[in-house]
Amino acid sequence: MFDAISDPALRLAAGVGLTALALTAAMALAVVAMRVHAVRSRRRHERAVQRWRPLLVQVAAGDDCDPPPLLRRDAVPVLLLWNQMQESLRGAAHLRLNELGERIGLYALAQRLESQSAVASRVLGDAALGHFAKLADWQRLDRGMQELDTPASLAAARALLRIDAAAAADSVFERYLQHSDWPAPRVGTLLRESPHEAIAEPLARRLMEGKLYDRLRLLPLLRFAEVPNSHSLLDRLVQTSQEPQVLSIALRQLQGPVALAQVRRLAGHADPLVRSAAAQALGRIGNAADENRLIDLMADANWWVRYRAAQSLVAMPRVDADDMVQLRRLVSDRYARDILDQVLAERSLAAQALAA
Amino acid sequence: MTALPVWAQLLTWLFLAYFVGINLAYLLLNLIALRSVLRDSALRALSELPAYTAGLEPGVSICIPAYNEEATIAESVRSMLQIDYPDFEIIVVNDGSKDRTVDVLKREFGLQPFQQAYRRTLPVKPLRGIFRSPQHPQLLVIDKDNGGRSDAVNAAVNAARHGLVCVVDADSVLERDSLKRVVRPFIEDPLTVASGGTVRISNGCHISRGYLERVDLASNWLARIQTLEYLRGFHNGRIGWAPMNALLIISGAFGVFRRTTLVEAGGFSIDTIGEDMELTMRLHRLHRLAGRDYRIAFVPEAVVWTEAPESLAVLRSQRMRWQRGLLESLWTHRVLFFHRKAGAVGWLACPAMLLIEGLGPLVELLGYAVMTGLIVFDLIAWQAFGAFLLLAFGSGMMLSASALLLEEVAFRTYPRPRHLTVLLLAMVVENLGYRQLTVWWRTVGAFKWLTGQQQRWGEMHRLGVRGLRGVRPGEAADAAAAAAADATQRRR
Repeated sequence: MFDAISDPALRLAAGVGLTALALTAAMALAVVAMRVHAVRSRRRHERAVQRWRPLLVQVAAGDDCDPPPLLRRDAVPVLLLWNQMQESLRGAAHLRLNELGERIGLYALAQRLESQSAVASRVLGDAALGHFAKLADWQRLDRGMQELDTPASLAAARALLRIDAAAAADSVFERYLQHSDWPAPRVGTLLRESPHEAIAEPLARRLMEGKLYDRLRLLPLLRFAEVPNSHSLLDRLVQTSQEPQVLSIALRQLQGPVALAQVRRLAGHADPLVRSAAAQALGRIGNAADENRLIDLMADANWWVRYRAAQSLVAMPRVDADDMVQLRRLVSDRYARDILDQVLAERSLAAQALAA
Repeated sequence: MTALPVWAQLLTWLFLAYFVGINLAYLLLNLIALRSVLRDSALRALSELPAYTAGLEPGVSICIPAYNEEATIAESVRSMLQIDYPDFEIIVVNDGSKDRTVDVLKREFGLQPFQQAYRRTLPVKPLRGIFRSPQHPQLLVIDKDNGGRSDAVNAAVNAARHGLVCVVDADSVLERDSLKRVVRPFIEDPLTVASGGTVRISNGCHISRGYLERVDLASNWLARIQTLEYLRGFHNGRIGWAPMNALLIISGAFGVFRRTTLVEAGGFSIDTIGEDMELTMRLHRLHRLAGRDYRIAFVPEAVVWTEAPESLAVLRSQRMRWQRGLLESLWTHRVLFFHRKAGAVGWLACPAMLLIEGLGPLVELLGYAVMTGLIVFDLIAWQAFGAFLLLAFGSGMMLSASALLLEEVAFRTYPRPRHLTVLLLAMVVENLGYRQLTVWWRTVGAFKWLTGQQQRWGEMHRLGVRGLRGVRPGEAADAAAAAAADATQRRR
């Protein structure tokens, strides 16, 4: 064994070694080739943008212009540029760019990209189809939204909401709840871009009727989507819910004195998550009558409840430095005193920083 | 030529099987990494999509353990104070330094004693004082008795006000947007409990006042090879394991943890040399064995820069510690191996780590020794020896090349053609001594761990603006603060 090149072990070792070396050489060449390609494509991209940006600006501004035919190699860079501009345009300028896009073949390109398998192409195609906002693309976008690829399905959902938010809202919520891959902040951003009247009703309905898991996932959307007049909905949720997670999320978003009675009630909840959120809420919407409640919470067994209560107390209107000195003397609980000291020291540092 | 003894035949087949197995495993990991990187980089190119996480970033407490950092701590804190992130606090813990670290902080930031209701959620050594800066309300300094890096981080975690805790070495250079990037998994997926970023080598880079101004490569070949090693370790290993939720290490030089999870797990262990790997494995164990959903993420584009040793003595000490830390962590959490609930962690990542990183150096060293012995005693032909070297070097270079390929596809951090040439050359040069030395050191480290020998900390001469905090490029535990061997006797 190992005394001749015909030995199987020797041949295997040499074979694997040579294959590894060949792969190494191939990858090294690929690295160099990719670097050269990257430099060239960046230059090409820059040239296309330089040529087309003034034209797109002209068209958006309503000036007459006769665009040259779109070269095949410039098509994707121009679609990227077109999308970029459409993100900030509304009204007539938006429509004029849509018209130009159709004329020079960007709409057809977007449709082609949407049907490709590469996720980046699909995202780009979906974004463009959302700007063109044609009902004819509804089916293909709806199919795209149901796919499990997160960026592509989100891009399709955005396009659907742009085409018709009221019609798309329910299926968007359905997709969001069925799969956990869509991040709430991202969905919230999509909803925020849409007309509120189109999404507020289906969201409220699902929040009130949904199961615990659904409600926990939908609640953050209220904040991320900045749904107006969500206070009454939150108030109803706080009144009817038992789950600490739901209560704490709802409490963090509550505004206005209407909900004060509920917040006060929940300041005595058994779960520290809820008490801590209630202490914070009292700082936002409470009044002088809540001072004693907050003082009690400063002696809570949970550090975060104590900290939030002290922060809320110190931030209360009409509570000045003298009140705090007096309160510091009166507080008998050691933990309450410690947390009050910390919050006062933080306030004092913040004041010094402001003065500086 | 005499006939080859049976034991030598068996050993030879073992080496062959080992190298072929490792190559196949790494190729598979590379493919997973390449897929993930290709997809992400293509999406990054679509810059017209709105940055949906803007304004939604949760508060982060940045914890910086500091021991004898008087020369660099002020600069480090200043650079951290200016990172691009909407809501953060910085907690510097002076871990009983013997120099004037805390005095420098007091002077530079006008620190004042602060009345803090300190929660001792995690047990830590006694505190000497807590300070805040009126000019920088987001800066908190804790002065405490010496207890080691883990103890210092735990002290910071106790004081942290935010839900996320970011652990950064005092001498690391964070890119301005790294924190935003590394926090993104927490925004996208509420199940995320930890997230880590890439560590790159700063030797040769132009760093001014704590900022990375220009990326370059060191002139020293030892540092150049380590640059390649780090690329290999982070690109081939971590990007590949992350999609399977089987990442076994969030680097101690730059990692973000959910505070409640960290506290629930008991914080960083003060009894281990590779506490970052130990903690990551503990998080896996805590969640997997209890059947709880969780995610440990890796964000390759969140980058922190750290200085690598340019002397063999420090490198030796670092590699021995890493190997000990790796084996210690794997041994501590051996229950994960092939546990029915351990999933990809127990069935793939742990065994792979043990076979590739744990036993790899020993097998390779044995390979060199046995093959040399066999050729000396004329038991095998020269062709066989050549085939063995071809296999060993070829596989090593292939892994380096694939890391460079991933780097080129996704990041292109090293912009100049000269950088590419140097890195491609390093791929070859590494095999001419460096690789054999590190294999030897790691084997000695493993032996010392097996025999329970204590390791002395070496001494690191600072080369650039910042000293060394080594981070293992591969999957070996980075023995935390590792080469922070800037003190002969360190904490604890």
